[in-house]
Amino acid sequence: MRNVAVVGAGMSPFGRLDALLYQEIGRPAVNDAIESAGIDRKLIESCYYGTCGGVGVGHEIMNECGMIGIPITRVVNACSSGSNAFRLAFMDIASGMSDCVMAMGIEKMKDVTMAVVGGGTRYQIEAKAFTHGSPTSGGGGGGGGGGMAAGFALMGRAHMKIYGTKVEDFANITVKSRRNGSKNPKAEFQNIMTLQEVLDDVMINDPLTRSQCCPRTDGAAAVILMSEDYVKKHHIESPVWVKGSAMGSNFGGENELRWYKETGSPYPPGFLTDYLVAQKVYKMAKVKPQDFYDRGFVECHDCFSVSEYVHYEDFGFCKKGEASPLINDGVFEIDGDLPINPSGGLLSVGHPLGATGARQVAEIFWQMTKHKEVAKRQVPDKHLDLGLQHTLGSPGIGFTNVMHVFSRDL
Amino acid sequence: MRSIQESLITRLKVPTRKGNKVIARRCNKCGNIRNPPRTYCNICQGTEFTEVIFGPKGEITTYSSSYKRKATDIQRFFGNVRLFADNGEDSIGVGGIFNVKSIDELEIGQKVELLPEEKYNIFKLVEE
Repeated sequence: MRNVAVVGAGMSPFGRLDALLYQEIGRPAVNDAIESAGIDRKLIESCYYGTCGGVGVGHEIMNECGMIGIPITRVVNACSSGSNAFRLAFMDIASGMSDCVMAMGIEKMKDVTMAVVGGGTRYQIEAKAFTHGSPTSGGGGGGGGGGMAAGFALMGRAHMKIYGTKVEDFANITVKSRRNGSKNPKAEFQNIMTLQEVLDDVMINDPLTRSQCCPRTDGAAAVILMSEDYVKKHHIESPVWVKGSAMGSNFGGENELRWYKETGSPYPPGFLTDYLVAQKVYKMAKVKPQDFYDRGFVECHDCFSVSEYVHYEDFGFCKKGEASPLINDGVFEIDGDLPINPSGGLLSVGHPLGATGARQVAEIFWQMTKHKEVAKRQVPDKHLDLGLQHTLGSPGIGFTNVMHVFSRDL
Repeated sequence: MRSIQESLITRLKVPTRKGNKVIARRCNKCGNIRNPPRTYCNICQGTEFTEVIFGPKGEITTYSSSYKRKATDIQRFFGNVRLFADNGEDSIGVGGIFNVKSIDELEIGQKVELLPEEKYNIFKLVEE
């Protein structure tokens, strides 16, 4: 398998971009990525784009950007679409098929729910298909509550009972997110919030208040990947190497509970797929969770405050139920022992389903190359050796998880 | 064409509720419990099943509240319940609504009973 690096990144502002067409959002992101890489766009041999609702938009955008005739693949995997597109771009080069590939993500979320954007035609035909049904990972089928926020609210409530976690512990994740988001001029929410403001916000599904739920956001991001040969040939000064790539899925429900019983794992409530995929990507990259404390940072899928909380546990950054003092002591702040979501994360930057994975990779690239894009939220140099990127998608039923490890060193 | 379609349908047209009980099916080959029922087991692909009855007794495993956009909206309290079989060994997870007026009445581990309403799963709290 060949070595692959990220060599350029671009991103649109994230927010309600009602006045813009898909290609008016995506084209600047693509052009910025090409400009930041400093390469001729004719070098790009293929494109993978993640989007749930943007049928054909990648093809249109690449055409508008002057890249005509190359293979273009639309990747649909709910919130993991952009990450999945990046993984496919990585595999395209690692396998030797191509030397320079673009991975992009784009979404417009106006007037739609995640179920509709993610589910499309199937949701309209088989609405009942969209229940999680897992007793531990969320969902309230059978006539109860539903929706993404409900599922994570159920998980949070169970976590509070089992581990004594408090509503303030979850809310403090939003406080951190808003603080970082205030330093990100492309984030949808740039307002700092106090703990009390988060707790007093509109209740969506108890215990999750509105600011503990990511917004429905429009936006696009693009990154360019190159083989090691091309990095050398085209004199790329600051490549960011992909050291690990892993992906997995799980269905929740009784199958997951059976796995917990058979393996004696203490994992509920949490995401089995996070735990398993993290093991895979760490193995490939030859790293351990402690390495991120020593010299790394993370961009993970904080679709809700509860989800970021359990990610700390599932990635091995702490034991189950022991994240609260770490959060409250600022361990995961930009200047803390392990910076997590320096961009502001999904909670503040926003979550256009297909774009998020690409946006996270862009953030890691900018942080590691000390790009002016992240000047106000720059992670300290000692934490720039390793980057962990993670998305968790729910494609209607179950979960699909994609993770990558990046390094400045080959 | 209709008979071809009918031969591919995997949803069993059998009752899944009887009063305040849930009727599930256990795979005879691997023991996996399937609810709602299908013609095949999703673990071992087996096709022979035995009925297993769950409920009405269960225990709350988690809960939350529905979003109340306006003051006049009816707020519902929903969650997941571990429903027990008569044999005392088996249980399945089901979702449903709790017959309470406030979220403060709910607690994880609270004993509940499934009500005979068969369109939805509605649970009442049980005094211990």
